[in-house]
Amino acid sequence: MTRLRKAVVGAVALAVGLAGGASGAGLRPTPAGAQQVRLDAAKTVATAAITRRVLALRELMTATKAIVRLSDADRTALTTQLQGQINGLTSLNAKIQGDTDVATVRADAGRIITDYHVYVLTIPKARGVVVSDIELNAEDRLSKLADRLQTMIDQATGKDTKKAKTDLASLRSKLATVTSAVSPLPAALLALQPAGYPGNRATIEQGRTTLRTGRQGLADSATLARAVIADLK
Amino acid sequence: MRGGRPDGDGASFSESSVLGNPVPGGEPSHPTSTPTPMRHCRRPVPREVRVKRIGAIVLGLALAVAGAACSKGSERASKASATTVPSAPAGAPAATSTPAAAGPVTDADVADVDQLIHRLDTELDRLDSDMATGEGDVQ
Repeated sequence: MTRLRKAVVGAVALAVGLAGGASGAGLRPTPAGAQQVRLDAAKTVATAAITRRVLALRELMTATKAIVRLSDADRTALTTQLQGQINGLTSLNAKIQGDTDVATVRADAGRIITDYHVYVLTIPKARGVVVSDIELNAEDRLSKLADRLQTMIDQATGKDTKKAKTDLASLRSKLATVTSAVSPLPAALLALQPAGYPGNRATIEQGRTTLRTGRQGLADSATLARAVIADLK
Repeated sequence: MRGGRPDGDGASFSESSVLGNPVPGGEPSHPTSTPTPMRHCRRPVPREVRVKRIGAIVLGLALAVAGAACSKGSERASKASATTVPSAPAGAPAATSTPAAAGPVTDADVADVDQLIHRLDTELDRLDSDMATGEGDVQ
């Protein structure tokens, strides 16, 4: 009986061993195959990350075409920076596709963030430049309206123009505040580089606050312009 | 209306002379292979038709003279418009989309700025959204 038991146990052990070997060979990938799968997966993730960024940068390139008030130098600088990142990311993607091991792919994928900081730096900074342009354009228009309102006041003989003058002075004061605050912003934002992140994040935060304040100043100015019109009726 | 007919005839005549085709609606009795010039074909045209043709030519000349006179008048008119048109944008209110450069300020002028502020709001919201976005996964 003891011999028989030993024979049965041996047979079971042999069967289990064979089954394990079969599963290892047929159902699971070989170590080399698994490595290739991991490599391909890493490349896919990196390519998707690059594609998202390139699309976002291209959208901003389109937005920069609407810039009307900023200098040609600022507009060119912004366009150049955006195109530079698009080109750099495209080259990086090509390199990643040629990488032969997962460690290299991961190292290169890390550069998508460290070399570019597209989402946390480039896009907010470019958007800030575009918003600055809109604010300065609105300020220009309101300033011209203010000049015409002044002419209306000068020509309003026989009318009490005291309140109109006061409102117009407030309008001009608000416009001056917007101009002085927003004018330096494009250059300050364009100077920010990925290498300076996260230290330069504060500049973007301050810029956003300035632009929000500027927007309120412009809305107040529009209200004051309407007030002057009403004052002169 | 008859003035148009001779033109058509003339056109067909010239076409046929250039291309060597028979005149449409012309004398079908003459075979196409006949080397006889077209003039010979038209000689037997009745006098009435000739008179009509001459009348048409006279009418055409009259129209030409009248056209020349009109063109002289239109030159004057175009000169007048040439001097008035460029001056319009400078003084008069400009197109609806652009603010007037001068004159009394209206609410419409301020509404133009409101549109810019509206666009500004959209872009500022995008800026907020941008700044709330992280870099995400790349590995």
